[in-house]
Amino acid sequence: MDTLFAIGAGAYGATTVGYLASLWSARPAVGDLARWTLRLTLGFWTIVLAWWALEAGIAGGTRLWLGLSAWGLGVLYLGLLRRYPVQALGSFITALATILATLGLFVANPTHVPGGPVADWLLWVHIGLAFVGVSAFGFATAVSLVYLLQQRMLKRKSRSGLRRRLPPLQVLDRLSLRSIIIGFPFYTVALLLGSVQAVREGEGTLKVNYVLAVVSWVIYGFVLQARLVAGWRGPRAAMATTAGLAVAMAVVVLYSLGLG
Amino acid sequence: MGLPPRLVVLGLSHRTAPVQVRERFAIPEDALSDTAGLARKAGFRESFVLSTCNRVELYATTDDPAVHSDALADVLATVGNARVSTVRRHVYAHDDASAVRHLFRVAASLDSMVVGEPQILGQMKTAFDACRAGGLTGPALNRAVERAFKVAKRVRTQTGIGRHVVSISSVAVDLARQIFGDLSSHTAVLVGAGKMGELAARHLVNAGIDSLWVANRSIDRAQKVAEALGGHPRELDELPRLLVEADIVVTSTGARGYLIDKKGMKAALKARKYRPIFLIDIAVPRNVDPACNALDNVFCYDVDDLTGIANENLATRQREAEAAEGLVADEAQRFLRELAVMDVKPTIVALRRKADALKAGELERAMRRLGDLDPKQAKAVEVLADGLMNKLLHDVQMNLKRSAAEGDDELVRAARALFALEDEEDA
Repeated sequence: MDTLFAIGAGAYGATTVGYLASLWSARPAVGDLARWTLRLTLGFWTIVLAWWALEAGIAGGTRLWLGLSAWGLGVLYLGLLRRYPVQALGSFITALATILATLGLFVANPTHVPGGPVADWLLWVHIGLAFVGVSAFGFATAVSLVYLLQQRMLKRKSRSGLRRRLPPLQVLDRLSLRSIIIGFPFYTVALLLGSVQAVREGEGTLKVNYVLAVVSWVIYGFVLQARLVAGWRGPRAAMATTAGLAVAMAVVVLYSLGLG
Repeated sequence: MGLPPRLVVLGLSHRTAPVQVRERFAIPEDALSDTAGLARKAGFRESFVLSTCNRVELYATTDDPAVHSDALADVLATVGNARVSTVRRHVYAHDDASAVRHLFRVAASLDSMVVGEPQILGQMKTAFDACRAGGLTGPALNRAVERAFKVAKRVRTQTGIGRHVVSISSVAVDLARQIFGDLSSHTAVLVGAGKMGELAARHLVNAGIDSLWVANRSIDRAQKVAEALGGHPRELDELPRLLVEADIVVTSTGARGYLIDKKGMKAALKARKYRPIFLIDIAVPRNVDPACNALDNVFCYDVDDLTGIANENLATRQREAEAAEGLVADEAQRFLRELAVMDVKPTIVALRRKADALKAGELERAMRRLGDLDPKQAKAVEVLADGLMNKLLHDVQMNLKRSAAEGDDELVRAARALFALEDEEDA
């Protein structure tokens, strides 16, 4: 299974390279090739994840969740391509999928199902919701990074062909906001369930993991509030979204590696 | 059988004739068919006329070696009510391979004034349809022009020749789309009523913006321009409020000093809850303080910025045009090879027919001499005759096709002479 995960992570990496090449090349064939590579990669991952779930159970450990998150990002991206001109997002989305899948290779105990005072299924609901939330934030961040790149090129009056291949700023801004709106409730419930688990275990709430999780929740809560109420948008919102994901990813890394 | 039809073209374009000459020879759409009819009367078998603001061209086919492009010059002289000598001073002519290549280049917009402009293909299709509907085209011209349309499409999809806009107004619309995406829910304001600003605003209207306001110091002028563009007039004093409501601002006034400064823009930005705004400053001296571009969610482009992008796009088009030229040359070669192979077909058919007739006659004679044969024996004799004939003709046919594809018609002429095919056909 390690080998399959490694092949899958490599396939995401190859897709990222393909999408990067499509950003710099004006030839539509390069983008088509990258899209087909992603489709094949996701097909491969569908088989690997189904196999893993059958072998280790539906609550098959952190590795399964990391794999599912990466897979979900890819599927979401292909779905969005049908509606929005967001081909250029591909390299950012697949890069994030590569990171998540690679992280899956280094999980301390891939099939370990944590126990505790809270029922096991509830614990897995917590982990599942957290990964859905982080995946949504990951998507928002990928979109925000493309926003920052496009905004910079428009501000500098760039004559590069890359500017024409990136999606419109407002489409990116809207996609980022929607991703945060979707991810935030999942992340909030996950955090609440995690707190219940921690309190029941009597660990207190000052573990680095918990503190970072709360910090990332505060950042996204602030971004959401500022965007919906004060009309915050543009580069500042994009940068705050990226900062929020950096903290949330730190939680995922610490958890996956059994640290924190 | 006569010789294969030759394609000839005679025309004048922006490369050979100034506008005052071109306008004299321009042919309205409803007269294209009549003009093509004049070419038919001049002895051409098929004809088709293309007339745009940058070119007038007569395409025709003939299988008579005595008829050549000079006859088309007479037609053009009639159209322009000019002397043939005047026509000859401004025209170019191509025939055969050169004419095919020219046709493909024109369709692919490689010969256009703005290389890569998309209108030429539509104009060509309209003109061709008119002439075809008038029964003036035929198999040779249909095949060539339809292939030209296919080549043009291939050029557009396989090269970036039409991918980059090259006018200042188009660049402004392109940038607006990169900021806002779909423009149908956005409002634009044209400040001032200069020609350039009006042109940019017209491009925005054509791109589908939701509504347009025209603000000018003279409300009468604003009213007039707004009416022409389908917009609404506004007083120039309303500008601070318009900056809050509009997403795209085109400035084109003769004012000295900035109409929109950083401080005013900052206040407007706050009032519009930091929604992005695109300032297109076409005026010289500039109407918008360039420092506005430093504000988040404000994108400010002046005429030099837009010209720079347009020039870069033009250079990209030129680079893509080089690739397109290669593609067109290859396609023209392929088409001519296909035509040559098609031209040899009547010779092969005539050869086959003659061989079949010989075989039938000889078989009949042999059967008479051999007397009563049972069906099996009779069949064996027939198979022998078929086999001999097919084996003999197979190499002949292959060599004829090969030499035709290589553009060598000597072998075809030799075959027709050796097998007396002309006599056969005439008989």
